[in-house]
Amino acid sequence: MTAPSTVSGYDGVALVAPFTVPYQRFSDHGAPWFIGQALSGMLAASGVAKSAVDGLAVASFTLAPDTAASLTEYFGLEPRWLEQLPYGGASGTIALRRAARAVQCGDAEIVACIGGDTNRKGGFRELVSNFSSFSTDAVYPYGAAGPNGVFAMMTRHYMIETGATREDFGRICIAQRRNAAANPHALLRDPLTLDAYLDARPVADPLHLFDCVMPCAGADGFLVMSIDRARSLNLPYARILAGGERHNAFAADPVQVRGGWTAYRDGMYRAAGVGPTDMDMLQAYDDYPVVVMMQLEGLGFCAPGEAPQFVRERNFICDGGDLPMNTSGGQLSAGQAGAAGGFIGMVEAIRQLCGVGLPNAVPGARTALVSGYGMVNYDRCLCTAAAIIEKGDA
Amino acid sequence: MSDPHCPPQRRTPLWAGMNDAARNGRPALPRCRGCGALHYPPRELCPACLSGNLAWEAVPDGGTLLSWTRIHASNEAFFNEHAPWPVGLVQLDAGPTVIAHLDVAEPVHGGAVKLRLLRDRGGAAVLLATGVDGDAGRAGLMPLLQAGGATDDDSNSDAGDADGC
Repeated sequence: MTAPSTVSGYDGVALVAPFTVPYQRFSDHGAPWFIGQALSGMLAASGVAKSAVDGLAVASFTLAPDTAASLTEYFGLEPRWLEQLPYGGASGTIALRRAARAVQCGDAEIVACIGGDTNRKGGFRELVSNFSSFSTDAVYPYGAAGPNGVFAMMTRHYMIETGATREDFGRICIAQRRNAAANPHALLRDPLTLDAYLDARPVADPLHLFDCVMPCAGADGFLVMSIDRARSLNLPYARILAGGERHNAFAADPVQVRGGWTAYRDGMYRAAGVGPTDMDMLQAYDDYPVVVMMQLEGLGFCAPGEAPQFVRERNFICDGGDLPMNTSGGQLSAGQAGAAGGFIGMVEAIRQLCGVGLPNAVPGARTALVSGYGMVNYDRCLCTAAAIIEKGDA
Repeated sequence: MSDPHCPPQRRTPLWAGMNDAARNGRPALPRCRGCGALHYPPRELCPACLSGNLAWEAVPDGGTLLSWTRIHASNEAFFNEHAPWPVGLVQLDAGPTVIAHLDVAEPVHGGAVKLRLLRDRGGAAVLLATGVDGDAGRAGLMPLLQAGGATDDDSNSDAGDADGC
């Protein structure tokens, strides 16, 4: 599979105002409440007036029957660019790519990109039991475990093929939980020991409790505008060096062992002028530890099948690790607020690159790789996306 | 709340062909009359050539077990009542990959299994993977899946009816 020889640049685009609406285990609020709180928070943080927001990109599982269109009326916006992204964990990275093009070509000047969901009791079951046609016919009838069943089988296969052990997966979960200690928004912040990880109750073997994210309510978002605009507003910003996406990649693989990142990562690094070893941090989509391993391989940090060894050798903690990864704790610690899970990594990366005095700061961070993965339509997730972003100069 | 006595019954209209094929007990898949491809899960258009000229065809019942799990925490009361519930991922000799209830006592990665298509106790068609070479299966799984005295007279059944529980 050859990478494209030229990749269009993302010159002139700024990412600002990373904002998290604190996650809650359950909530009676509707999805618009969380999305709107994110919008309100980003505007307050940036000093941008609501009337100046002329682009909106939204991802949400619990917004239905409302849509991004509904939100224009709900929030009193009159955008000239509007997107809704049903790509699950890839939504935030894809939103960034879409919004950047809108700003570059003048279709919008200030785009709010937000992933947000509520979580009512029974809501997760409702979502999982009606997730897709293929799931209804060919997955849910067999144990009704939702993604846990699919990823349990993917994890077992990966373990047999690569020699990955539960301890290897545990290293990821433990390091991320360590990163979550300094994140006031994380729902799970207590240190996780290997014993506690291994002894946790099985969910769908070989997956146990701490291999699975905790569904919750919340939102994450950021603004996209021109660098000129960000500077005129005196806002710290990040800029995009490169990005890519691919969906339904390697469909002929009988079990998913690789996602679409392999298809575009060489071109992405070439366009950015950096490689995996130049990344000061990696925000990898972490619905399950096996997916983190597939991203380490797919994004070129190690060879296919070598992620277990890579995980044994490397240190993922935010302060002093040789590859800070999921520096806010990831979804495995913070919780998965529905489609906000597709934004948590991007928002954390922007925050790290723009922020001052973060309790979980990666020292001297200038470059971040953010990777998304989503939409388990049948027996694997279909959507992948990735972007390399860099600290912007004042 | 979900029914503790019945596996999930809801299917899309795409599953109707499976319900019909379940009369024979043999797995069946949609075959494209245009390009010959088989596919699963069932669609209205061939994923290889987008033709809508499809016909259900019985396929050989052999397959290879790619992976499996035992579900301890389900979204459905029936599976929680009988947890941990075993399911497997099987590549059919015919090509496509299916998820099936797993009635295999000792699952082996890459091991041979046989696929059956049967009606569960609610009347919906489901796939079941069983062992070969005398594998005894999992005690009690079959009675749980199929109601005692369940009839095969399903001429009034449509995909999605919860007509057996």
